[in-house]
Amino acid sequence: MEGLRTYFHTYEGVVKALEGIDLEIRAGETVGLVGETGSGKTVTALSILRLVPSPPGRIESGRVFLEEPDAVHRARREYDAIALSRSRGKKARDKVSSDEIREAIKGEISDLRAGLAIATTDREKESLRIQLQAATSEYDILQKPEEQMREIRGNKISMIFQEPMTALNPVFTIGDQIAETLLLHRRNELCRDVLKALELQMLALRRKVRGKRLRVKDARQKRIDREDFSGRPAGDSSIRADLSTMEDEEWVCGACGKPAPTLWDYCPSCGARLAFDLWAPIRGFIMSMEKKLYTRMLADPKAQLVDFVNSIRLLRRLVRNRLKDEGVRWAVKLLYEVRIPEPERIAGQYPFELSGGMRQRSMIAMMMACNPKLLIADEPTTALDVTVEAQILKLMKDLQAKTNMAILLITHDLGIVAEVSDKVGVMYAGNIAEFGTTQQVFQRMMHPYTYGLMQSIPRFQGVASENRKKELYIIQGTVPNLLHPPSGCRFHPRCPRALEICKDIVPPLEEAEPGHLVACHNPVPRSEVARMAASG
Amino acid sequence: MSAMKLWEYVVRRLIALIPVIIGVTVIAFVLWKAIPIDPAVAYLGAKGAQKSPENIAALHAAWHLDDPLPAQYLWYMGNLVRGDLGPSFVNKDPVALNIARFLPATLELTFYAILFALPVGIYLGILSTMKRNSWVDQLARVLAIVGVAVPIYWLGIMLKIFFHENLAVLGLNVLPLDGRLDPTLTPPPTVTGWYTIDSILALNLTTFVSAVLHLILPAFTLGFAQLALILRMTRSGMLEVLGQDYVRTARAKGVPEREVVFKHAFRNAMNATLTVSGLTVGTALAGDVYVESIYGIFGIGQYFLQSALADGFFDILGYLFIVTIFYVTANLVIDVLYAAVDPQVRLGGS
Amino acid sequence: MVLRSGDESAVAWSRIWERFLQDHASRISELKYTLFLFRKNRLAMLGLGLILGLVAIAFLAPELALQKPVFVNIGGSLQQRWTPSSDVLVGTSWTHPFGTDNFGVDWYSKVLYGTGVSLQVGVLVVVPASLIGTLLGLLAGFKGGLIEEIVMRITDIFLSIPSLILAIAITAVLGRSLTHVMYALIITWWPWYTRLVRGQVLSVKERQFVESAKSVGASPTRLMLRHILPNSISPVIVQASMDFGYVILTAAGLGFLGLGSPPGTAEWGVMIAEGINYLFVAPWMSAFPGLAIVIAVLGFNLLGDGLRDILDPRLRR
Repeated sequence: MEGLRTYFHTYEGVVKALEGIDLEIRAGETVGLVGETGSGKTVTALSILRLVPSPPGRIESGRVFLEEPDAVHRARREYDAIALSRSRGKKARDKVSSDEIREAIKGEISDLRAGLAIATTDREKESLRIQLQAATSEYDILQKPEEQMREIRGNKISMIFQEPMTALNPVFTIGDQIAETLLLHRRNELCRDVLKALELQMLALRRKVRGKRLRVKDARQKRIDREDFSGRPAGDSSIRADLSTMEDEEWVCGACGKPAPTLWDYCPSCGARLAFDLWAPIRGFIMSMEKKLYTRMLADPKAQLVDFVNSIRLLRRLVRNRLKDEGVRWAVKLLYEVRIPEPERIAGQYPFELSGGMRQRSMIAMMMACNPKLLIADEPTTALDVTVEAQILKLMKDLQAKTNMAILLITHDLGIVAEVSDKVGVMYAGNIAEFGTTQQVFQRMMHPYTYGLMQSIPRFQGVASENRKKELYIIQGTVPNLLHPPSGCRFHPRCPRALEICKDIVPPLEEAEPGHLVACHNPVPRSEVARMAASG
Repeated sequence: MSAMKLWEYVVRRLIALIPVIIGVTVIAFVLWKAIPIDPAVAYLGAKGAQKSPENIAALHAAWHLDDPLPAQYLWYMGNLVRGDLGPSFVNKDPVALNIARFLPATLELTFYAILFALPVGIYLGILSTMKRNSWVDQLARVLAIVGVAVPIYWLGIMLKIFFHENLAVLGLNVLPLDGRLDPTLTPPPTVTGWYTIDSILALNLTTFVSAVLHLILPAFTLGFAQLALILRMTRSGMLEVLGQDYVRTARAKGVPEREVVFKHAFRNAMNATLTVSGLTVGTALAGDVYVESIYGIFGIGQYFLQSALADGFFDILGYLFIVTIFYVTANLVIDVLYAAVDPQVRLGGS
Repeated sequence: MVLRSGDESAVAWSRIWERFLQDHASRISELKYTLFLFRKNRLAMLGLGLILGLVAIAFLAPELALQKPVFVNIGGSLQQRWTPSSDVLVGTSWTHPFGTDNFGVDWYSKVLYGTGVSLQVGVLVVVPASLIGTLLGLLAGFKGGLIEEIVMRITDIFLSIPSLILAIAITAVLGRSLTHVMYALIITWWPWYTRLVRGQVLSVKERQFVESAKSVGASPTRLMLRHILPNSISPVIVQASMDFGYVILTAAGLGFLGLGSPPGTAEWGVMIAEGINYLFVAPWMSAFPGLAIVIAVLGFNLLGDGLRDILDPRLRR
């Protein structure tokens, strides 16, 4: 993220919520974004996904690059430098957008295009392509059209929200809501699953497998022979073993003995029909039609035919929405991965029937369904109990380990950040004040604001009696009104280390030690920091 | 969707209806008894009453007018259950027959009015929230405020004037202003009583076209006020829902905007729309009275008016009873729809 | 120093006034804030302006009109009589801004006088109906149990009959007159308030401050009047202001049907009905009274909408 600038044009004036945010998140990394309410953390997240409510809000400038290859990145730095030096001389680096850059290096771009057209060898083409992508800021998602953004949302970049109670739609089941993500982004896989299921069911139909849903306790009493569990080879004793591990009240398929939750009409394992089918005689015909439909869909993913068929309610009894069925099956698997017990039952329930922790897990399942590269978590645990909070955080880290996704964790809780993040960004009034590894920021902080934050954490250990008698530290003053933010460094009115220059010039975010950036004209010296660390 | 729970719900609501209907008959009865005029006299007419006092006595006996009140009530209820609503004071036929005769016209008119008002109102309501401050939104906002201020009776009259006066100048006075059919045509054989349906069934195209044309102005007049109300409620319901978190979640999933509005948002806003739809049936039935008298359509609205002006006791009672049944049934359907749409209603959520 | 009795009482009164301001300080500042929000809301101000204009017209009708009615006593009640003239069915002109009717009576004057009638009807119906309805709703919601059941059942029964139809039936039964129309409308309208208020009371009852008041030992009446009522009342205010308009609409409708004031009276509904016979010849007869109704209802609607926005707790501060 470079120079992200988001303003809200309200009736009372322009609220400058984000004033040039720079941030970098690498794969597999957890970056914590901390700050007080109103510092712009959530706006940053929403800006990445371009979900800022658009009548008042607008992303004024800035660029957000997603998965930019290193080679392109290096090349782009050069082009950016060229473009900046040209555009009206000294335009600050954090006021540009990709359009302007492209404008400035128009000539180079057309040269590259021409070159690409006449290039002969693959190597040449490849290198020119890289150059071209760099010059046109190809990986900047802020300039992409809305349809492409929609493909990114929920798919490459996902976001989970603070209040799981209200963030889930109350009128749809959990399974449906998770399946929706898959239906949007993973149609092809679902189609394949559908075709597989169809094959299975058509086979069962042809073999006239009799199925009926049974409770486990009834199934145990049935004799295990050809007649009763016709889906399995006669005398298959593994059935008995399976049944013994299941609860009495659970449902199994009468044909093969495998679990068969009430969610589906067909046994997922052997394809036998579990419920009464009004259209039984022509079911085979219907299935062959469906097979054609889905095969056609697989070939041409944009085809609206399936949606059309599914939208004709009258056909619902006849033709199930198989994509949704497979989606829900997948959803059940996902619910299992987020450690929700009895996932099949939960998939059929509505959000109001679940507890807070389960809702948040469901939301995680929903947003992780497509294995995003970046998961933005906006205060994911603020609304939950502390014990549940620990579980959720652990879940997120485990999922991260499995999929190597990056996490942007937004929170105001320094404790969580310290536990979970690799890097930390401290935000104040729409700017990044400090950025670095957790150790750097927590132990060797440089920005006076960060220093103040750390100081204001109440302490109980250390020189105990001394600490308990001290007053709690507070940073003087209040968060500025972003309608009329202070000039220069936005923290200067409250900063005990403010200098004259702080009132006039916005301090740039610069590297003080490798990987540790700070935006301050007068950072806190090491000695003071060490003193504070020593006192507890 | 749990079918079992839904049926339970329906049955429970039906049972709750019974005391309400009984209550309505009590009210109607009270009204009747509050009339200071002797029903027998009203029936015979002033002159007729003077001429034959024995007729008055006979009527008093037949209608149990001198019995104690509870007995009178029971007598009336007994008749009601058997389908006998008493004789009409308007035209000397049984009230039940009158109602059966006049009801289809009203139903046809009301049906088309709602058919116009409901989809248009809902669609405009939703559309106006999608594109804030577009011309659709401005139109919707104006309609929502002004539309409910326009009296039905006045609108009907203004429309008649407009389509007669102004368009005559332009030579375009196409739309018929009175009645249900071109006076030169004969009504189709009665199957349902609806001219539009019956003419199709009789394969008579000219009659069908005429019936439709004659319905345009009355249905529009009746539907207009309903449209404004539906639009208003849908719009406010949608605005509230669109600010909710789960709409943001849907967008964050990558759901296309159209689906966000119509699928995610509207399902939740439907509550408000359903509520107002129930009211709509009531106001439509009431508006029928005005529309029928202005456009010369002989439906039960007109019938009711005539009975009110002629002090027709049994007519009024019968009319009240029928209308209440319709209104209450419509609301029952709405209640069922509530349960179908909102799982919390169905499953008794917190 | 000798204080004269006049000074003494003045001082005493000003002390009482100061105490009053102190006790109700927070309420007063809330009120001030409400007024401030009101002024900011353009539409509400417009509505208020329209209404005040109508009220002014109602009071000043004798001054503003071009023709005045005579009041004749018929069978114990006063009825309006308008003197006919020879300018029969004249269209809009300088002498007759709204034209004349088939008797040559100036229509503009009649419309002006009709304003007063309609506004009176509005007040005389909405105030009693809302009071009765609110009281019953408070009772039902607060007491619960059998009382609630009975009250709500009765309310349901009344609400099962479409309002207009009930009003027509009652008016037909009682006899044609404006007073009977008002009675009918009061009977028709009160159930809406009961249902509204009961719902409010039920939700307010659950709120924490009620529990805390109870725990401090507040008596039921005190709870009901001092705590629950003020917090349930804002939807009632909104509804009542909008109902003013709807009552005027319905009353005029009943007049139109011939169930209210006698023909010839300057009442908007009656006037529209009179215009039917001359629909194409003199469209102004039906047009102008209807327009007046639209403006009146519009005014109250805007006011009500504005009040709703202002009183909405979520939008304050």
